[in-house]
Amino acid sequence: MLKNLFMFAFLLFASGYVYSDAQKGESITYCENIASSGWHYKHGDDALLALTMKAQRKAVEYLFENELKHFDSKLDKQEIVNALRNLIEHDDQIDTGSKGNPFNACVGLNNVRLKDAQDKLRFQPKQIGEVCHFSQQVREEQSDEIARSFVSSLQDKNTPKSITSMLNKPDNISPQSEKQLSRYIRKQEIEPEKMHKRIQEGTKCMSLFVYPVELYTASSPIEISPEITVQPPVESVDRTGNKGEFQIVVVRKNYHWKIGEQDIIMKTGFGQVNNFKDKLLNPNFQKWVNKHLIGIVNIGMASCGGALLTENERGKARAKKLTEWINDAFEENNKLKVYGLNLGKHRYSGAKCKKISVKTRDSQRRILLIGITKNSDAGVNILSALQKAMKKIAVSQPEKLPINPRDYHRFDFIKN
Amino acid sequence: MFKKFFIALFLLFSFSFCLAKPVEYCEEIRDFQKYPGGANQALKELIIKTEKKAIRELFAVEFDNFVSTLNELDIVDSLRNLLQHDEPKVKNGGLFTPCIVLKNPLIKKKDIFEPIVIGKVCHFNSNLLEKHVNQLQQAFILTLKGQYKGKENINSIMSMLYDPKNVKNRSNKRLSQYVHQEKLKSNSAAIEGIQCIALFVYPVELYTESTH
Repeated sequence: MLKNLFMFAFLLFASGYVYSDAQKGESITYCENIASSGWHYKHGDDALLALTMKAQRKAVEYLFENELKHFDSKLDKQEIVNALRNLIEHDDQIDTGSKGNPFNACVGLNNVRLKDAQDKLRFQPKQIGEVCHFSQQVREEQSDEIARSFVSSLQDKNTPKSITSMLNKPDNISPQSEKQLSRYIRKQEIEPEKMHKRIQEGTKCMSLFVYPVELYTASSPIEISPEITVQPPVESVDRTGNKGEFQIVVVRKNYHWKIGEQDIIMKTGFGQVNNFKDKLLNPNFQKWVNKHLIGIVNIGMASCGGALLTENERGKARAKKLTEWINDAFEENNKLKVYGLNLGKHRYSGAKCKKISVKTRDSQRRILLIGITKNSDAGVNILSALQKAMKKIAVSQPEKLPINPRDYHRFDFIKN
Repeated sequence: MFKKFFIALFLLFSFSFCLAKPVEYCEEIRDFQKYPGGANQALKELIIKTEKKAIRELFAVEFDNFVSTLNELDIVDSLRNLLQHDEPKVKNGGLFTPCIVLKNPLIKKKDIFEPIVIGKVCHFNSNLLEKHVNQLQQAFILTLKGQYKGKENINSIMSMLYDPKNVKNRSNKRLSQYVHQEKLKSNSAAIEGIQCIALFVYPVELYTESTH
């Protein structure tokens, strides 16, 4: 009897050991009180996606706890946390449960770990250049030049490997302006390192460095909510040289306008989405818009089927509907300027239009917003600068724009 | 314990003594044709030769390890300006062989052979690194010639020159040969592929250049 008991205890211990060995990472559980948090997910899948995203953020905060605590950045901590979700992994199994509170919705991520332990080093500064000289003017001129060449190398698609390895998606960095990218270059005046030679008196060094984590974040699309992703900013100027900075706000590609309708959104495989306005109320999206934007341009478009005039009008009506939803969602932010932009009907001819799949036609009716960031000049002509920005992206990085404005008949600005 | 201390003191004293030992130069003069000025001229030139010998002895180690585009004779000649010694003594070194003895030879700027770093650049692009190195070199040369617009001075280097006015008329190309380069290891926290170059000068070269 005793022998059996010991054998059982041994097996239990051994199996427990094996089990805990397999569980290399921590388990992270994220719970949300659905009664008090303005719970607005009508589909279970949507809720699961949203909670998983939040649990992943919590996991990032746990895994990079020390790094985030001591890191001082111009970037929003949440943006960094969001981007770093790409660097973690966890087991597929997601436990949901209420953790004893019937109003709690919980998602558990098991075995949360970094894909690569070296990723913690992304928080360590990396020197990109140094100038030591006795003349302050020389130090400043030369270090500015090094900074400019680093920025050019970020914008250039033939960037050295040592720089691209810091980025998440290098293609997201290249359209950013010199001014935008130079924000990530830090300078520090330091005493020269001791050498085996005498150093000219008065010599000081200007060290230039970057934090790879900032470049990684800057090159990551920002996943604001399960439905909304924001692309890194793109800068352009209007006819008079005023600067506009824009961020494309993309609603997931499985969302699109219902064919022939101007106020109904569809989700591929799910049918009609009755609560689309709720997606705009997502607290993260609200926070992001209020923090970063001075305006939103709501884009309306129609697919290639139907009469030109009717479909051009439909595009306009969709832009207006989106504008109405945005106005409602941000009614408390009276500083936010809301515009509409009608692209009209898609240019495909009748014959070509008939040949394309339903999915392709759906993708011609995407839901698209453009954020006008606070870095824009006050007097910027939105239409002119936006037209240039969209052209720039459509030519150099078509993958960033879910549609190409040139494929549509109109580009009409609708002032609210 | 005391014994060791005294030995050390003795060695130290001997070493200093060696450095301060008189320098003697003798030359057999059978034909005064090469000294048309007669004994006075011969004496003057013998003193110069003795001073040169003193310079070579005082900087023996430095000359052994020094490689320069300048002629060593020119360097020795210009460094005589830095030599101090007691009144030269003439002594007879044999038939037709006068000798000059310089007691207590001393150099004012003993560190003139020591290189001085005037700048350093680290860059991730080797072509651009070269461009920055050239720019730093130009800034230094302009400062040396008193043409740089910046406020900073380089007194420690200027004080190493014999006469700063003499370098003002030199071409930038000529002066640039005195700016040397050395590749350095990059900082361990630097990005991969970064390269560093330090620029340095040997004051002795600039001193020699500014002598004439």
